[in-house]
Amino acid sequence: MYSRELLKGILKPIILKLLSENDKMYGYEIVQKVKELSGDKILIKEGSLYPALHSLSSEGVLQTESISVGNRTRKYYKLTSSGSGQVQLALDELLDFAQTLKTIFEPKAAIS
Amino acid sequence: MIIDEGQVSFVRGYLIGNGISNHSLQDDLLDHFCCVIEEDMEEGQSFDHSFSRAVERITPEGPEKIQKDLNYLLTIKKNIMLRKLVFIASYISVLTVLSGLALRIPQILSGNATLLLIMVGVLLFSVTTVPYFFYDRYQKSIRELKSE
Repeated sequence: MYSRELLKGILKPIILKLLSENDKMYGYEIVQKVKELSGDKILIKEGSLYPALHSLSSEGVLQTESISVGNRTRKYYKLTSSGSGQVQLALDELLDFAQTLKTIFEPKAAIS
Repeated sequence: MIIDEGQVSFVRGYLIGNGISNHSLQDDLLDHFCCVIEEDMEEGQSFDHSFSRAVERITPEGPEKIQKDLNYLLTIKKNIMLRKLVFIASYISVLTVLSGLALRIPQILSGNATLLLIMVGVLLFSVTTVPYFFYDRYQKSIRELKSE
């Protein structure tokens, strides 16, 4: 399992990526999906997830749709049209960052 | 399995009683708690046991921490902008008063012009820096009161 510090900067791109591939998702579903896709290596904390979802909603990236499930309300999050346009940019930036990290941390091949 | 109305009310009471006043966040957390509890109860656990596990898993630092983090995220940009504006206005008001006095000494400005500059500076200070100072003090006192 990765540390909270490492996950901090990648939470929003993860949310955007998942929602770009699924029409709408609710919080618990997002946590479970990330856990499954990462082979239990990435466990999103609810304390980080909901502030991020609400922040993205206030920025106009996400919108919500509420439905009743039993005695409670379930809020589904989905990308807005402006949010859909931001997905590729966020993913490109993250992949570029991952590539840069690889360059820094991967052992260099010995020069013969 | 869907937990019953009384159990949902119990979880809602826990969230409200622990500082979750934002209705939207309340709905999110209530549904999340219910999903986790239902998952546990499907494996044969009791509601009480499942609820305790859900509290440990979802709100290890207390539910109010989530709302605090959310409020911070939602207001940080606005607060930074407000502070910038107040600092700029404070600087301009002090500059105006000092300019009036400095230009009066070598007689560059007349007495009336100096008075006008000082009045503008004092007025700007009164409508920006002073209210912000008291607002900030008020917020700090509320925070202190709540943390007691």
